[in-house]
Amino acid sequence: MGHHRAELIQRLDHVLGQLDRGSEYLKQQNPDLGRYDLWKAKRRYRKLKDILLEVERRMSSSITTPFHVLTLHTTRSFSYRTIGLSLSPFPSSVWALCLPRVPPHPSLTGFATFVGCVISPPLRQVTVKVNFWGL
Amino acid sequence: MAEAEDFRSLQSKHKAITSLLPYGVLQERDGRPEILDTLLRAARASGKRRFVWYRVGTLFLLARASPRAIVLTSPHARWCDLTGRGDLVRRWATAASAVQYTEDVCQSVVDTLLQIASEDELVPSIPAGVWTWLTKGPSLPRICMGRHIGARPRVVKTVRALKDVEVLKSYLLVVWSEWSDLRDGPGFNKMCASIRWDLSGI
Repeated sequence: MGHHRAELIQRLDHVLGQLDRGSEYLKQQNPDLGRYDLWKAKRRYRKLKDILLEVERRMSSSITTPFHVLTLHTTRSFSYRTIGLSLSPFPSSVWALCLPRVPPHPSLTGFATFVGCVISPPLRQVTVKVNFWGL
Repeated sequence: MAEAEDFRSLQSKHKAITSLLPYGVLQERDGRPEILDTLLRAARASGKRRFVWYRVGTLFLLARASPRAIVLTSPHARWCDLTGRGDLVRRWATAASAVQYTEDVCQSVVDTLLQIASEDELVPSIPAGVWTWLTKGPSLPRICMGRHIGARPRVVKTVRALKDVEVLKSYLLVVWSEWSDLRDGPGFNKMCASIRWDLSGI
């Protein structure tokens, strides 16, 4: 996902660079364009870039920050559909998965990024570590 | 005929240019694309986003146009009030899948796609495969109705609903431009939300 963000940031840099050329250049297309319109356009594109940079920072630090821990109890198998994972019963008790995104749990209002889980096969219990955003 | 400086005189000849469209389409079908190509250049040089050809829909329905003509003229159709729009979208999508790729064709497909996607009623008629045209990275012309309409909240919502990150990224690359008039409001807010939630994976 990081390369998608990088590409979008690059695009925004290009757009902001073009907007910095001033209204005279852009008036070729839109003669009614004023300084205030240009200022507003720059502000919007800067905001988009800021959000992308914020997400980028958040993602790069998510591995080292403390996680909220969610314990999910499975019923008959290790397949837990609500988080979009298919947990086949591997012998290993510890998983270290990094998936780009899983759909949010129905009981959550935010967005969850799955970063790892611990499976206890005898109890058929899966402890999933996720980062929650927007809770 | 189609120089950008002449757009005012071209606008005054809008009706004349428009009336030539059926002839240009028929000529194009018979292997003589010059007239249609000239009309398209004139429409582009007019300096107007909305250089509308009301007859485009009729030409599609009567199956008089070749796939290339359908694709190239469709950005100039008034998709919000065409008769039999669902059928027209299917014909357009069929044409888009049959036509040979060129930069002009790609621009036209994406331009039209974004216009169609702003109409809730038409979205179900858009085949999933058509969205991949966005990933070909077209650079839309400065004057482009699709880019203008494509920033509307309905379109952002439709693209997000595809749950295809590649298409979403390509869509944003297309609509983010110094030539677009991205405005504050629901469309912009949905874009911000989309970055936060759809593009926030590791």
